[in-house]
Amino acid sequence: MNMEELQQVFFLECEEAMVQAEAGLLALEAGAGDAETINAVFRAVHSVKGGAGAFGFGGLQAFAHRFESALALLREGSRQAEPETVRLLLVACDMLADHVGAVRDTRGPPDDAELMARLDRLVSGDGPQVSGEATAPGEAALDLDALLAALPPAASDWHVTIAPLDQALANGNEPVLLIRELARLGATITCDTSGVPPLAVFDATHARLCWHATLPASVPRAAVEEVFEFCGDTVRLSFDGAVPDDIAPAASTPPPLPVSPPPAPVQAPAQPADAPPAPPQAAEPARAAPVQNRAIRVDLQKLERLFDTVGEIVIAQSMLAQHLRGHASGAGECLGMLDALTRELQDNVMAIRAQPVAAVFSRMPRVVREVAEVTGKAVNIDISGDATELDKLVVERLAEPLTHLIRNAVDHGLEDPAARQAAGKPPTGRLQLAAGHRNGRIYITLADDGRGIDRTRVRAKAIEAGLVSADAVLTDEEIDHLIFAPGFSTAAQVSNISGRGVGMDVVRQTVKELGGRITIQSQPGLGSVFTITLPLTLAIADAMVVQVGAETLVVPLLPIVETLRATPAVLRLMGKRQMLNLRDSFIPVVDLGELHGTGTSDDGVLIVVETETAGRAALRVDAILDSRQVVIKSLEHHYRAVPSVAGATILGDGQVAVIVDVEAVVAQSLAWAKAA
Amino acid sequence: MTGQNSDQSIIGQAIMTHSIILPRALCRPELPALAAAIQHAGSGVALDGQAVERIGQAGLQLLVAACRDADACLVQPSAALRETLELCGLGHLLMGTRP
Repeated sequence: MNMEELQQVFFLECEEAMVQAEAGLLALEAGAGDAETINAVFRAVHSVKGGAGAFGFGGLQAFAHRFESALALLREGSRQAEPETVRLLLVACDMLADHVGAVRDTRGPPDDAELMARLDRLVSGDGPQVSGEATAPGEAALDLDALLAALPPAASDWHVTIAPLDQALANGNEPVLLIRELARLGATITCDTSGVPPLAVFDATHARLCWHATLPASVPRAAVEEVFEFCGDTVRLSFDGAVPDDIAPAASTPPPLPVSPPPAPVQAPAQPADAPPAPPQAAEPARAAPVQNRAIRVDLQKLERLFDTVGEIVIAQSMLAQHLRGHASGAGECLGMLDALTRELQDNVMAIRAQPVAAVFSRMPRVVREVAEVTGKAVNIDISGDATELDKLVVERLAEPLTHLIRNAVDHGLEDPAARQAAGKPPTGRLQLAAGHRNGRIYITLADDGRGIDRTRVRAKAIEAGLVSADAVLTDEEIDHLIFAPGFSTAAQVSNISGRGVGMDVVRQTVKELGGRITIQSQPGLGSVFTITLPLTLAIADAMVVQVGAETLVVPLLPIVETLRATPAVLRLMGKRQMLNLRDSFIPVVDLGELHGTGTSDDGVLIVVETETAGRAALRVDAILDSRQVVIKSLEHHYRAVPSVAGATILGDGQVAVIVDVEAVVAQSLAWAKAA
Repeated sequence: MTGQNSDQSIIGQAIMTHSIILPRALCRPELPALAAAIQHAGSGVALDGQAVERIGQAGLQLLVAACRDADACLVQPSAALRETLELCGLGHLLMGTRP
């Protein structure tokens, strides 16, 4: 591993540590924490500090040290986890994240002077005798020593017992060479000679020495196991007490060493192998260690290659099905099996890429805290369903839209404490962020108990901004969706939080790019619920294969509401626009044949779709050929972005078909109609 | 393997000075005879380690038993012997050794 790779591992560990630290602090804030919670936070911050020191990230190390000093107060019991203190520690946790981000992205360090001063005041207890000297290097060094001395066992040395068996001497696996290798790893060795029999009965064929090695915490278990990799069943190893986690792939773990005790030594007063020096309670963690090692880190590119291959298999399977259709009567069952296996393979590969939304949800309390502080509002956020898993790439891209939604909810949705009390609500506003899995899709909802969308104001602002005409007849839903329009803002002033009318536009755009959609349910005075619906993956989607003239097109299943036959009874011409009368509700018809210049037959099929920008519309096609999974190939990667085309796929007959960007097609068609 | 010293006899045999020269390789084949020689030499035998280049676990066991049961003492341990004993946590066998 080179230095850069080691740093990447460090940054990953920092992320994990910060999630752990924040979770612990939030538990303390909620009054649910105990001494172990504080210890866990302390350990997390300490590990960041240790790594930062090893890599020479001085700013990060210095801040982590200061943060750690403040945490030590709680740990030692010299200060209670009062709300004010925990809030300061939460802010420090956020700053720690900023420091990590700064060194990772090689940016300048964040401005932490004020926060450092606040932490110093906390550490000095506001007492004049220490203030001003707390930052002196000598003081810091002394403090560090004290903290290092108080380190929990997890970060300390660990032990392994090596008991060679008789076969080791017989097979030429000289144990002394193995001990030498352990010493090279930094082990301190002691030898238990109590099993050596008297000289009178000396037998050179029996192994009677037993060694205890103490290893630094930085040496992983796998490194020790590697030393004994080729010993087979000639040496008995036992790991005593806590053993450091190991990130080496499980595949490289050597075969388990034998657990049978060696033969009893002749006249030996004590039997080293039968009586390992580890206390009984230490045996459990030693056995549990391999379980911790079952997780591996894999380069994402390798997973992406695997995923691409699965995509190709999906295509090949559908090509095979197409070729065999009508030719081989007995192939149906086999094809069914192949189809099931392909889907299972795909699900399993997707599961590898899947990541809990907790990775992004965990960052949201910080957003809430920051916006609440700036706006002077009191806000609690409840998070649920954060174990819901999504494609890693989707999870990563969710951070931005969720941040905007939360800022919007706190800034615009929730009232200030006085207004809430006047409205008969508790002064503290409540946000609920939840995720769930339903019908093969992921739902993420953000609900607030604020004032709801002021539709009169939104409409007036939209007219003022020229987004809609003054005489436009809009449904509540359409008015609500105006907040996603580019440049729309009801904020009177532009602030750090909102007012530029950019955020919500970004939300809609990002969700759309992720192949999802966003809807709003808002009730005046009661609050709003934003629901983001996402496909499980960006690479494979359920879709309808449709015929338009001589072309075969693919329409993603997600926006499709229903399909119906295009009979004259349901179609009505209004001006130049053909409309579908769908249970007494008129929705515009978008003729895909017309857009493609191929024309459509009179007896086509109407596919009713739900769009974010233009509400419902009916896509008119000649026929629906199939409903199946398609592998989405990005045109941008292979060609260039094409308006109204979301991508391309390869059909069973090898033909390339474009995937319709439903949102864009409907918006474009309606815009043309309006212009005409 | 059968090195000699001016005032000492064949390796593995007790001599008048109660000193035994340890072989270059303190490994299994040599050990039974060496164990018998040490026992025969009686208490307080000096084990001359200056020729030792290699030592395995069985050899270490012999030295442990000899020092413990025959009150044997290592003399002039070679660098290899000294390093191996210290490495293997048996540095106490060197205590009282003569250079």
